[in-house]
Amino acid sequence: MNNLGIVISFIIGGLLIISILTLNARVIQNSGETVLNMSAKQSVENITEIMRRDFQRIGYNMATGTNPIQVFTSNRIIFWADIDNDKSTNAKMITWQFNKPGNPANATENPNDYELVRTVSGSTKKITIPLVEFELSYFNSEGDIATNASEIRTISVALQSQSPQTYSNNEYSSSFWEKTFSPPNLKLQDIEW
Amino acid sequence: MNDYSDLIFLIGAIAIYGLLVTNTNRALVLNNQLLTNSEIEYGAISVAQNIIDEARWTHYDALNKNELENLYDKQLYNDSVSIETLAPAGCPTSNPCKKVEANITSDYLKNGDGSLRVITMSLIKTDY
Repeated sequence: MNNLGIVISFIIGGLLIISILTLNARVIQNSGETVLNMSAKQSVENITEIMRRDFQRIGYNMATGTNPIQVFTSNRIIFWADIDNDKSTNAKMITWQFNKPGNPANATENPNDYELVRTVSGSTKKITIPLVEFELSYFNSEGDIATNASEIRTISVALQSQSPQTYSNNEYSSSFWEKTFSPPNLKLQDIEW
Repeated sequence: MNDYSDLIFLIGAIAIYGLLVTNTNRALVLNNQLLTNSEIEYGAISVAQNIIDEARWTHYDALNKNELENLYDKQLYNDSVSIETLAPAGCPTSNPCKKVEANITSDYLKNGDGSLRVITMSLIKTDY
């Protein structure tokens, strides 16, 4: 009879320990997920800050008659802009290029992310913030897909960032961001003065 | 008697542990909701900004509610735009002006009481 009591106690105690361990694991996982999600969001925030600054200035302080956008593909854009409002020099050539599937971002443990490279007048400043997806779309004044550079009035950017580390079994915390830029100097071309 | 008291202690302990687990689970669910909400909120602010940017570069007389509302598909966000002509006293200059307001909602973005949360962004546009 005593043995039966001990066996039942062990069973109940075992279940309790399993339950506590499971709860503990879930709390730790959730905590990790939250921290890594904040990290992914911070990455998006950092990159969009620079992007807002660059894209809103497309065509600013450059010679009239020149097309500000030189190259436009879904993963690369090259344009002219005076990004630091330095009127003593001409507008600088800015390049944004997403190297997928070329260059995985080796600085992180995440195998899904690739390098987004921003270049200003040839001096490469690599942005090592991990990005999983980066896509550019270009629209004309009617809102249709632009077929040549002079038609482009708005530029849509969609990007997805993932946390550099996994929080459980190769699961990464993601953050998605999408924005359509309407650079004033492209829009001004449609206004009749 | 001793057996019964053990049983009562056990039931009490399970009840307290159950409360702890329930509260912890509630905190975890709230945490996940917060993460999802902030993600959707980022997107909603971005959509509102896009509409305001478009309104900024549309001619004063050509401002059209339907055109601004139909800029984006309605898969995740529902956008409604209101354009209101303001009285001269409410305008920043002596020229006539309109207030453009973009209201963005999403089925996945809710307040604590379960009502839909609205992200609002507005622009005062003056006729030159």
